[in-house]
Amino acid sequence: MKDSINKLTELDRRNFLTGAAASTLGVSILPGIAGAAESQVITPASHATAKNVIFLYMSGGMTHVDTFDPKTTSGISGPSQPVSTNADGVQISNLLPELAKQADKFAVVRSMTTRTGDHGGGNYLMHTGFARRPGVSHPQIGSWAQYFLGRRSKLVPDSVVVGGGNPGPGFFRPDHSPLPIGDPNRGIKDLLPKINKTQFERRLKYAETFRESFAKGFPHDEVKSYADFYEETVKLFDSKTTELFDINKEPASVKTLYGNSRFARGLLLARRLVQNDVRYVEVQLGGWDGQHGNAGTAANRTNAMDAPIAALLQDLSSQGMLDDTMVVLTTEFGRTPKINGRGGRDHFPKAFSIMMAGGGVQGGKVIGKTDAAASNIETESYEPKDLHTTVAYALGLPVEKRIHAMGGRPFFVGNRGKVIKEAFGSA
Amino acid sequence: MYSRLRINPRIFVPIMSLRLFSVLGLISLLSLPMVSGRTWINSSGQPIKGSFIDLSSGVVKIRLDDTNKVVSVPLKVLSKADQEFVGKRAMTGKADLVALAVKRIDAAIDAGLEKKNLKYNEGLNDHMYLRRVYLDIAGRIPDYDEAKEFLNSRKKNKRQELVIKLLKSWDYASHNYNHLAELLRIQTTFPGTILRNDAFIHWLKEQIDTNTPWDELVREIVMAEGRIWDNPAVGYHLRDNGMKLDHVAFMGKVFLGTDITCAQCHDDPDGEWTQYQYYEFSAYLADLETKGKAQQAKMPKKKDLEAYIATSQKLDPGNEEQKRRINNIVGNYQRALRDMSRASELRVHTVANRSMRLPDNYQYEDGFPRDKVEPWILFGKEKGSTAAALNPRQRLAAWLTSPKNERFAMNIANRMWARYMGRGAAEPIHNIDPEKSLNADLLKVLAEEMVSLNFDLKAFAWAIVNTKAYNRLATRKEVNITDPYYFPGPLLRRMTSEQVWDSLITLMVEDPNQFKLDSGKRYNQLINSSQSASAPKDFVARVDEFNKFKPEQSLVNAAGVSILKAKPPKGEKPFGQTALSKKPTGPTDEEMMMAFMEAARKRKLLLARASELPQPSDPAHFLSKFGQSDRTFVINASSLKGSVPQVMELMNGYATEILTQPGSRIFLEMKNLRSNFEKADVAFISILSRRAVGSEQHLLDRELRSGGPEVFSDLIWALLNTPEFLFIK
Repeated sequence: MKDSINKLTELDRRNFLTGAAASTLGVSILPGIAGAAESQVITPASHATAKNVIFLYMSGGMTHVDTFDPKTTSGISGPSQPVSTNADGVQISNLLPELAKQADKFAVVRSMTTRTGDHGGGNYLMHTGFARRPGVSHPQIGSWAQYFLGRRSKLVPDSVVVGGGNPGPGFFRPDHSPLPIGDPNRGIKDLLPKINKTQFERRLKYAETFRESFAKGFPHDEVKSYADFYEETVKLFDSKTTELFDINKEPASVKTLYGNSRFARGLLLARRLVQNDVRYVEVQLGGWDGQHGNAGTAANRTNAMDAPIAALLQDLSSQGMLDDTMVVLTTEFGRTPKINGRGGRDHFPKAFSIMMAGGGVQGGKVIGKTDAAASNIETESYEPKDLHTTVAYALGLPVEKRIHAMGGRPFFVGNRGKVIKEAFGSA
Repeated sequence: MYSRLRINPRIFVPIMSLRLFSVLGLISLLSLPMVSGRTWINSSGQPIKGSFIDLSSGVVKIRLDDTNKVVSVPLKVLSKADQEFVGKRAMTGKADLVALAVKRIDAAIDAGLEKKNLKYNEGLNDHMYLRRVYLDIAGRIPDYDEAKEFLNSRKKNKRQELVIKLLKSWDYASHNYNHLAELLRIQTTFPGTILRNDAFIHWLKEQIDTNTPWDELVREIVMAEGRIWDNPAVGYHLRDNGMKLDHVAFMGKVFLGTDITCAQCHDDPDGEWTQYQYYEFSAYLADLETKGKAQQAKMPKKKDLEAYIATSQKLDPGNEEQKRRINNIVGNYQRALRDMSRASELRVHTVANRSMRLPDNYQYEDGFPRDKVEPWILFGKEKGSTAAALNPRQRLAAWLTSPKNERFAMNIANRMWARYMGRGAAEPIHNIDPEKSLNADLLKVLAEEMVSLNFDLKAFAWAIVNTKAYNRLATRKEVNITDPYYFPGPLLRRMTSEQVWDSLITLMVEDPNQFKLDSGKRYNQLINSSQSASAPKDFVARVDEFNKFKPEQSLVNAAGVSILKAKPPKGEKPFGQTALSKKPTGPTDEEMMMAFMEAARKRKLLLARASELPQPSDPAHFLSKFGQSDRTFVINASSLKGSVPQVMELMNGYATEILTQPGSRIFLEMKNLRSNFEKADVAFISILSRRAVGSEQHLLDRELRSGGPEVFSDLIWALLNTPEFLFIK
């Protein structure tokens, strides 16, 4: 499916197609893209190291002590112990044995901090880089990337969210919304027409006839763009696109590698989509909030994340995709290092950990350090907006460029955070 | 620069005399009680309470507040004040003024077109006219009966009659509410609180329905004081609770077409507004406060409450585990009560002697940080003698809405023109520059006519739809936003999100206006009760009711039954009964409608108009996907752009799914008809307001003969999924 046109950048592609159309038909045949002119399509900055992003969100607040910042301190270590990994000097929790075997591929950032200790606010902040204000809606990175770099493929959307809500386009146009997918095993099946193919095609044929007189009478871009959206939507229902979203088309060995859980299948779908021109995929793993009263949650959740994410890194790497696909694992905040009276951990925004891999990130590395109590950051600290700036920077988005939205208010992708430079090998 | 714009004094003379009494009467108007109904005095001096509906043939119709009954009262028996009140709202008697306005607007456009050697577009046939005025005035497409009635009518003045009918309909209120709601960024709950805005939303629709003049409406919301359940008009200020300076910027855009936003933080780089001016203007609201300390929320004694819960839920306080559950339950009640109590803090009031001060980081030479700033208007003149007598907010309202404040009339006139024509006489609409407008004369005429029609928005709409320009087909060729445009006709417009939704509702149910949002009285009572103590039993019952409150409960039919429980209305006659139709067989219309409503409920579709639904709609809702404003920080945040999710919605969404099933109105209209071609005709007229032509006819000929039973769902589906359905030509 990757013909030469698909390899061109959006701008090239547009120029090529409109140019070709103009010379042969004398018309613009891409009104849908022309309609997106409000976007400022640019070429990625030369420092760009990533083309795609897989954003793994641990919803509910992932305990840093039981994952990427294990301690030996009594009363704090909880169920986990630091263990060595396949990367020199990198230790993570023994609850993540499979990831320990892939540590050469990822960097751990142990110096994350935020001031937001509630789930809603933390979730919003970590997804947008902006603090939540009543009524304001900020876009996620996938939408920012589409805004700056243009839509990559007409066959599939630019960003997809698997198993976690419907974030919408923020302050961008509706076509910048990530496509939400509930169940990775079902792909886009739920969006498909609930009638059989013959009937669907008959309907399309009728509509085609009924469209004629109006389309001829009003040859407007806006009218044409609808025809375009129809075409695009029908393509989405097309067996070819449905197939792109269908993980059952993956070989059995790959499916086994990832595992059967919904999260695992979400990761597999993410890999499959990124392989097929989707730029940004988010996959959520929920359930981290059981932490406050039950240390068992830690074991349960780390178990749920460990093997599938290790499989993802392995798979991306063996397919040569890890070089330009950045994997980010994050959460709204950490969990109290100190085990509480009910044997669990509470919300802890002050210090927590994230993981990054691929897309230019140097693996086998630990960035930042907390004290023995896992409570105080002893190095330079990073906030959610710094993570966003870092991802934007890796994608080559113009982090210094001010854009105006919501009635002329100024906004920057990444919210003017700082780049976590150590992740890329420079200090 | 704005002061250089003058309304032509020659034309202004007769207007002045008309306006004279109301200018002088401003102060008395300011002290009118702000209730939604009105107290009327009849000839025998007896008061009756109710809202104005209509005036025709010298008879005033009033809907009584207590019984909801409509009574007719001869105009001349009413008091002089009442007669004036009616005169301002009723359209009767305004025909001459409207005709004059039409003539002047036409002349301005004629001149513009002539200068560029341009011609008006082609005219509108009945089908086009019908669809256009329904969408523009009623906010939805006509239903099958309405379309048939108009198309079959041979009356010479049927277009005029239709316009009047629509201007008087509830549809007008619903549709115009949507526009105002976008302008005022109205949300169902006040941001950051649990307090619902139903009372204001309800009140505003009533004002639109009874045609409160624009200047009066603005005065009322600007000066409103109290809690939302005492005076719904306070919803305007409460919307921007805690963000007063932003509120001022919105005010400039919404009421004056003047954007001073930038000057909130620094002098406008274009030299238009200084930060000092921004603070001067804001100073009118210096003593406005949108929060008042609520009294301590009252809870029964904790011990009593615990005891009550232990008994009522059969929990044993002696048992450790059950004791903890009791504590949890009590905690939940405490939290709910706290939310209720916080919500009751929202209240608009005046804090005496509080003044506006420059910000701490003020950097210009005309003032020091923290300097006190006196209120001053942005342009024009504030009437000296009046000014001294009134408090700052009243002064602001008086200046803002004065007929002498050119930009006030110009703004609303231009906004309305833009709605009907697809573009303002001056753009951008929220920051108009009359001098740079290509249609400066038109803009001026529109503003003057708004004043001469006394800010009667229905009369103004009546004038617009009678202009030559409006009665032409939309411009066929593409017009870009930067292209000059001299109004040879309206621009081609995509329906607004609300128009699309309301049109679908029209195709689904017999009466799209059946369910309306009520004034939220019960919810408000619950909130308000957080400060009254009561026995544990009553307290628990009240908080339980609050916790279980569902917005759909306020979406009720005329009998007050919620949309979640209501049955379909009893139709006067079965649908589609004509001489040609066959005898109804199978389930009755009512049974089918019931099944249809159940199907909608199952899919959580609320079959009510956009104006009655939660606002802004959920991001996954049809309305959001079609570009409904998110009602946050931007006035014109709605979008008319297409997208894949929209197309998916129209192809496979729930609305389309149930619309293409038996039981929807369009199906009921077809069901008893004998011939397939008659049925197809119903589908075409219902959805596109026209009959099939040319190649469409050929397709029907072929498919209706050979097609199976699904052919009509397919037909409906296909007609919905055409640009002709979505665009207003």
